[in-house]
Amino acid sequence: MSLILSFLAPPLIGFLLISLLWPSQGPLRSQLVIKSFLALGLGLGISSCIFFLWSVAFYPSSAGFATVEATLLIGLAVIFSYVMRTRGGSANPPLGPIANPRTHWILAACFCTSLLAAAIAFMLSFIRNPHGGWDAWAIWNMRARFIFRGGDHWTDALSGLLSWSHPDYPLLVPALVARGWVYAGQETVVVPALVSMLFALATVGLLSSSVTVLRGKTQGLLAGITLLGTPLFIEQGTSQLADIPLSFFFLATIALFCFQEELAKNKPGFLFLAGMAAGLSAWAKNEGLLFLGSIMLARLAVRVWVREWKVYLRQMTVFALGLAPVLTILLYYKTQLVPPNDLLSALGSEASLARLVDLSRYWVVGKAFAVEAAHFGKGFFSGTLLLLVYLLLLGRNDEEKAAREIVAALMTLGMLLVGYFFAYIIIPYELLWSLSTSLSRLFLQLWPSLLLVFFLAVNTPEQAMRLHPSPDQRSRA
Amino acid sequence: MRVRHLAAKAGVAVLILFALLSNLHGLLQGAFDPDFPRRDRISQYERRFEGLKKILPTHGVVGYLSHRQAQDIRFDTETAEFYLTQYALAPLIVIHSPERDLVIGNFGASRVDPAIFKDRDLTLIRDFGNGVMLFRHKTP
Repeated sequence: MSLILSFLAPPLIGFLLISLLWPSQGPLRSQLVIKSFLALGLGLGISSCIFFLWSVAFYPSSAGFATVEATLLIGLAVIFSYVMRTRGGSANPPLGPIANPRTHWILAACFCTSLLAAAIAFMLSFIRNPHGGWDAWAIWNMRARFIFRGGDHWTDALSGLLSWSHPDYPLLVPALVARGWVYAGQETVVVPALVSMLFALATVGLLSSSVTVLRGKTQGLLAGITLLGTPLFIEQGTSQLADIPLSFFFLATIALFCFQEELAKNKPGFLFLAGMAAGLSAWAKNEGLLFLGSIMLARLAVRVWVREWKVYLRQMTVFALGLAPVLTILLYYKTQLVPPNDLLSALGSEASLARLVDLSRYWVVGKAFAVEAAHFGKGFFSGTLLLLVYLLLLGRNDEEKAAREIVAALMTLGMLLVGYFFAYIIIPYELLWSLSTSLSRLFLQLWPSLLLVFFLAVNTPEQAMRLHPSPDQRSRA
Repeated sequence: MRVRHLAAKAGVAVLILFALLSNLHGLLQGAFDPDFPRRDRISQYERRFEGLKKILPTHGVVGYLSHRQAQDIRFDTETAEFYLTQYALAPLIVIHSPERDLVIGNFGASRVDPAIFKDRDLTLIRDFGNGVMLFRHKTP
């Protein structure tokens, strides 16, 4: 029972916070689906941060943490009910047209089939590996055990003596797992598996509902089906690693910037939430810090190009306000509790400079990136090829509406890829081994965001058919 | 025009078909895995340390000794036993060195030559079976 409650509190906290910040002045059900999936991921992230602060102030399993979360929940609910009473009218933006109801139902059935298949795959994987994949038990769940079992010695998890386990990795996932165990009063393999599954579900839901709001139901369902059909996403979604949570926060940040541009240009709520999501990405994995730099630079470049300096500064101010709380926690964690990052420590050393000028490493890494890009997805599923075929058949969306956001998002993802590329160039471990064990996961971190951008940039089936009406449609016209 | 209209439909069909086929492929692979449902190996491995955990301190640092040298330990399945030991014994920190007051011996099923710990100034405190032992350093 307490375990169920522990997983109900974060989405509720997230939902109330998001609803308060949501710029639309609509009723509670306004964009309910998208708010719910956003709330699931952001709420889990917020709960992880609160649990970390609690652990620092007292220690993880000390009594009273549930009271803190309950107080926050009640406080938000009171403010929410007051604010909702003052709001009126519905401001749901109209969803895009549907080609025909039959197509919509076929797509909805396919989406549900894929979701069911993913749920079964999840169960099978959980039965086979209840402790998760290699990095899950060796890094993330091991750290959660230190936090849960360690009492006031929980920071031993971050000791430099465990350098092989990268003690500087942020604590979003381990803190969430330990938090679940504290609620349950015992260690159970169900908690990390649930955390993993909820983030995978939130990612699919957020992608599908974001594309639905921005481009219509058909396109939204197609985006969801593509992500659910990516074998690597399902495999990693069940592995209890931090890559899927990270991909959720990347996606949420980019989607929220798109909402800002298309749904609420003059209201800052989406930007504040985008800042929070970007901050939580850095609380999930170190790659989040690179993402943070990339998205700020990419947006700067786009705004400078169209000479909108002031808009950029205004937007980034609100973004920074959302980012600040999580970034403060992360700064404290990085400067006070953990040893320096192994990759950053290697920077500037003679060995890393030697690696930087070793051209053979560029060839090896470049080749690995090209092969991964061509075959991304695992098995016979090639995500890149599939999207290329789809683009060729349906064509590019020429509407200017979201062009700026699409360019900014593509630049962000491009910068991240360049960052990953150079991380491999200077990495102090065996290069081929590092590439074979992590490259596909790095690509996967970007995949949901890339799918969002892709389905915004490509014609919807309705647009493609309207642009090129069938003989039947023409005769009817 | 008709060709382009068909192309749009074909695009949607290709995307759905690949996604659903990939779902089906994943399910078949999972369902017909000859190893399935196999016993959870990590939980099995952890059970070897149950007796040892009862007499170890609740926190601190312990040493580790096995047939494998520290420099041979890599982050891969071949040498997983060191990482599994750390996973099982958290929140104790396990370091791959016999230079600690308490040292855990993890020798798997292989025969243990007493020289391996006597040469390192270690006294056997207890043998827990299954290749799991606890030593104390003679010179603190």
